[in-house]
Amino acid sequence: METGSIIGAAGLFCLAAVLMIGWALSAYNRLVRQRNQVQASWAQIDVQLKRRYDLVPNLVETVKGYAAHERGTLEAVLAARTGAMAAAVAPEVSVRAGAENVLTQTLGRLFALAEAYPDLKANQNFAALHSELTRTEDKIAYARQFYNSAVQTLNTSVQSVPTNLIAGLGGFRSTDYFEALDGERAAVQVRS
Amino acid sequence: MDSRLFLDLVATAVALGAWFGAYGLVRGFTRPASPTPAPATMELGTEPPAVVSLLVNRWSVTEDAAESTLLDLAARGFLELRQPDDDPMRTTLHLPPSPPDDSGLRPYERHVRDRVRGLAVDGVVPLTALSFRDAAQAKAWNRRLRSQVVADARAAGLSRRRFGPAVTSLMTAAAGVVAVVVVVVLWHYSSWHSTEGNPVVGGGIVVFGVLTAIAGLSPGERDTPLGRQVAAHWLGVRDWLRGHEQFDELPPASVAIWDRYLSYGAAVGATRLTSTVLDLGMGNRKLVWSSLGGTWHRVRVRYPRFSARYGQTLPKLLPRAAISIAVGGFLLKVFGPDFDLVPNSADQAEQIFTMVTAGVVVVGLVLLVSGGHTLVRGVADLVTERTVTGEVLWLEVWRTTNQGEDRPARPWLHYLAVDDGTGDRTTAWGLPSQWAGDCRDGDVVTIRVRPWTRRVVAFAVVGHSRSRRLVEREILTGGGVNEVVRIGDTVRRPTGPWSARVHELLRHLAAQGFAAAPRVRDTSEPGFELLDFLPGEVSNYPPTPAAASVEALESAAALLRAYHDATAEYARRAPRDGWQVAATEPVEVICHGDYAPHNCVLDGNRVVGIIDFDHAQPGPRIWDVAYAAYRWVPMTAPENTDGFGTVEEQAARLRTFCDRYGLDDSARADLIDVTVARLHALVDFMHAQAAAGNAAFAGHLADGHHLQYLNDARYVRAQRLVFERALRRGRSGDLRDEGRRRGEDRQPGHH
Repeated sequence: METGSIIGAAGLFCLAAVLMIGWALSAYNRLVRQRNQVQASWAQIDVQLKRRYDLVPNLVETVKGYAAHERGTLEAVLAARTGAMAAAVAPEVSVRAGAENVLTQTLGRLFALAEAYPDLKANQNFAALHSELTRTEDKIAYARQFYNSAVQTLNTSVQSVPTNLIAGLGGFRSTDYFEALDGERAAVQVRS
Repeated sequence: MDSRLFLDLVATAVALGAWFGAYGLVRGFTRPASPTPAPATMELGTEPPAVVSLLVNRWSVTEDAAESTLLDLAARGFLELRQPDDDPMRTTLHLPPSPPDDSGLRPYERHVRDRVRGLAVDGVVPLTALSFRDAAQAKAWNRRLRSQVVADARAAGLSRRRFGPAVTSLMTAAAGVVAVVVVVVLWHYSSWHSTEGNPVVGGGIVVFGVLTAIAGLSPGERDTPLGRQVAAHWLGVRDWLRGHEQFDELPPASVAIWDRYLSYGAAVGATRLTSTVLDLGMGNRKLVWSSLGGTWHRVRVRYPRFSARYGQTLPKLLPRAAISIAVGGFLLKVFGPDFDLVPNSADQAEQIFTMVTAGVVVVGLVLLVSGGHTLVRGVADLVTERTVTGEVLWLEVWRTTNQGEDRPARPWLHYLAVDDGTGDRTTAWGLPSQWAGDCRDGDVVTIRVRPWTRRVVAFAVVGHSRSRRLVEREILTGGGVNEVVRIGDTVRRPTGPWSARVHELLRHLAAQGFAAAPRVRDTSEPGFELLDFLPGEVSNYPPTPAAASVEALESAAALLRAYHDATAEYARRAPRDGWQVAATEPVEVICHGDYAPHNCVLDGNRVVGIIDFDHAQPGPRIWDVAYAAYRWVPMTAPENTDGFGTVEEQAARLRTFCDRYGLDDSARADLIDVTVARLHALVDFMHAQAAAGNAAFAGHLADGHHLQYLNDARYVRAQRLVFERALRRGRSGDLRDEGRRRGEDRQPGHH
């Protein structure tokens, strides 16, 4: 009788252990999947940001031909681009987001300035660059949404009980969001 | 068996077998491809979502096509989705007042938009109301959508007929060959068998007809090289979207943020919640979403059809079983002794008799066994009765009784598919039709059932679904910001932090004997108030002829005056804070804040009631009069399609309004300035509300309502002289008649 109950208890224990291990494995795999998604989403932002770095010098050159004396703005754009490219190697997402936001703002100023130069606006090269940059910024906006959504999923898993135990063991950490400009964020909130 | 007959049979079988084999091979070869997905990507292509859903669903059009088209229309600004709270089932669809140019819309996009338009009341339709009630209608609508999507995909070179004309011709030719073989065989048979009137040609025609019909049945669409390439890309997009777990949980209204990503997500099947909420009657009755247990999941439902036992009661089954046993027994008893398994008589008549006997004996055996089986299982069914509780997935008529030609068939049995949470597969129960009206899909029911006959013997609804709650209430028009529902002679409205003040005001009005405002019935339900329903008509924009009449204008002014007078004493002691809109000094009365046709109840041409006191605020009379005049006169710019009248006509009506209100001279002098200030204050209020997260006001801003107000304010200022001259001029009796003519000449829809 006693042996029977010992065997029963041992069986139950084994069963519980197997279930635990099964759960831990699936939780770990899920975290891996979520982290990969964050990385893949980040890569999409990265592609678009780099595309923007490539477009900026051409844009500045074109504007120079019509509005060379707006040196301050042009230099600010180039400086912001250099700053953003430097920040691209920084490990913190927030640093990079900040630098990219500066570039977005200075580009906005540049386009506002172009309004005052009808010849520049009529330039086909400028128009093409303008629309290409607008498209890129749109893509950046969506890529950022995807990235933030992936980060939110990962962070929720990493922080909530009991997956946080597996996350701690596996070295999964919460990741920063790629923050939008304050103005842009407000715009999104109004629309939602 | 005669070797010649054997030869004939073999020849026929070979010909038919070869044809069906060829048909099967052709089907196999033309099976739509399942391309390997491209690497996951967020780059969208140029194909519309409906075509994308065709490509990723192996070239078949599913319900995703209509759903994704609807979302795509929303993403492109042709429709608008608004979700008032956390529950996506309460999402409403709005038709924007100024939609983009629709000349580029594809036929199926128009088809979906027209469906929404057809259901919309005042430009609004609850999302859950989009599904069809009538199966035939749903089928016709979907068939049209499907053919339009397929035509578009074919035109783009992404899809083609699964059987091309060459294949169909070949199969038809082959059917001709088979028919010839059959004719030859029949002729051969008749030649040695000397049968009279052998239908040689007839048989050939029947065979040819049947085979051609089979070959001509549309087996759907298949891939093209370009289609495979494009499908691979979209499968990559699907993988990308599926990788984002949040996408699965996005509600339809999130299309405002995700734009076309949401519509393409629905097209590739990556948006579970959105697809669940959206149901354009494409609801697949065999694969139904269930929310039992708090999570949405799909349940596969089987609907038994052919067996006679389904849905029957024991008293009906037992006599059948008895008859079956009796007949079976009788047949066996009579023909059993003559049953000869190995007949070897040469006489033809005897041979036929033996074969018939064998057939009858088999029939008798079958009847006996099935009767016995029915008897045993029917009785066992009584013993194995069990109780099932679950969510109603589907309810539809199963069997009907014909009552003669002039009377409609009366249903006596319904299919009732219930998800009891035990698995993702279930078989529908047979629900006696008298209970069918008591429940609706989404309700939770407890039923007592007999598992073998699938008959429901006891039935009770234990919980109502959300969609049912929506449907049962009449959604009232007017207001425009809050969802207000009528329940009997009461109105249930959402409340806000200011509602306590409004309730005090309404109670005060009731105590004063002011009967034109609703009384407060109940405020115990958190977040809602229950007020009197004021019977009558409420106009929207453009106003109805009744609301535009001079009688309405005059009675509106008189009622506003009566309302103000009833609040004057209360305004002196009423708190200045806690209202939705801040108090305006000097306080003389409690301003209604939105005294406009959409908040007034008309009895014929007379304004008899005031509703929606949410914008009430202590303030000066002129603050309310200015806005009321702007709305009722109306003092709108010619571009504003909600208004009417030339500036002279408006000035005359303004004069009438102020006379009936009894506005004093100093107020008349300030009226134009106050009107302009009041409109600016309204726009500021809209901005403040939108910034605070009020989706309805954000929607109004997105629609450009504020621009209309600002434009009207400019117009009022520009026409100041005309308005002020009319306000100052001595009384003129002809104004009333002129205005009345205007009001009565107006026809609905002339804007």
